[in-house]
Amino acid sequence: MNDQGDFDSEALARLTALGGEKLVRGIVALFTGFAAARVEDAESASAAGNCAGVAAAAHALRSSAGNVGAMRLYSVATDLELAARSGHAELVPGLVTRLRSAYDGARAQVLDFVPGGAS
Amino acid sequence: MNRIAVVEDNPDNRLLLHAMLDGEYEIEEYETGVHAVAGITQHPTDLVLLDISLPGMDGLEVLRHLRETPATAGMPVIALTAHAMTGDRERFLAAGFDGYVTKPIVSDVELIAAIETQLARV
Repeated sequence: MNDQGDFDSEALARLTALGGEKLVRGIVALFTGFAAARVEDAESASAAGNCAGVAAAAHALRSSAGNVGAMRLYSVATDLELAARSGHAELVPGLVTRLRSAYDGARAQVLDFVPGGAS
Repeated sequence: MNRIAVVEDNPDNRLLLHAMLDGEYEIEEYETGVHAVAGITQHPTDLVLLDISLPGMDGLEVLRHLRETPATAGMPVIALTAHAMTGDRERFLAAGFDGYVTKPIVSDVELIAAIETQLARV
């Protein structure tokens, strides 16, 4: 599955209807800042064998992804959180790699939606 | 205007909730469970929107503190959660939450309806 293919642009359209361009720019800025840091947290925690840290980072990413319509990222983050919480440590490194790919794809899609990028 | 406490550690969720609720309610925002318990028990609001997965003191523990404090024991508390796993709704309601809203929150209309349902109950 293409990690850039599962993007619900209606989510950003809903944000625009709710709070205009200012809200969209604020949410996108957090997606490119806060959410990016959570992906790095997941990578660091995975490298350290810290499943609780992986689960916490993945959990935070789920609602961030949902807010901007990054459904592929949401799905991978959900799988990663479940694997990390249920002790399936052997699945975590591969899912973290998919998480990075899904995030990078979603970031590009989200920035395409916002003229001039985030605030 | 009713006052609502929003307890949520994710800044994007706080921003979204503020956009959905501003103008309808007075909003008090808390980033951690510890700060929420201290603030809400000293200055009770009409309702609490409470994230479950807070770092440190989680939402379930915050709820327990609120229920044990006379000034906040009967306050409506709605769980905000990205868990959405089978059985979560029943588990959170059994824990003492009055309602349950799944993140991502996509409809301000549905959120406000959930809030108004609880406010009308007290």
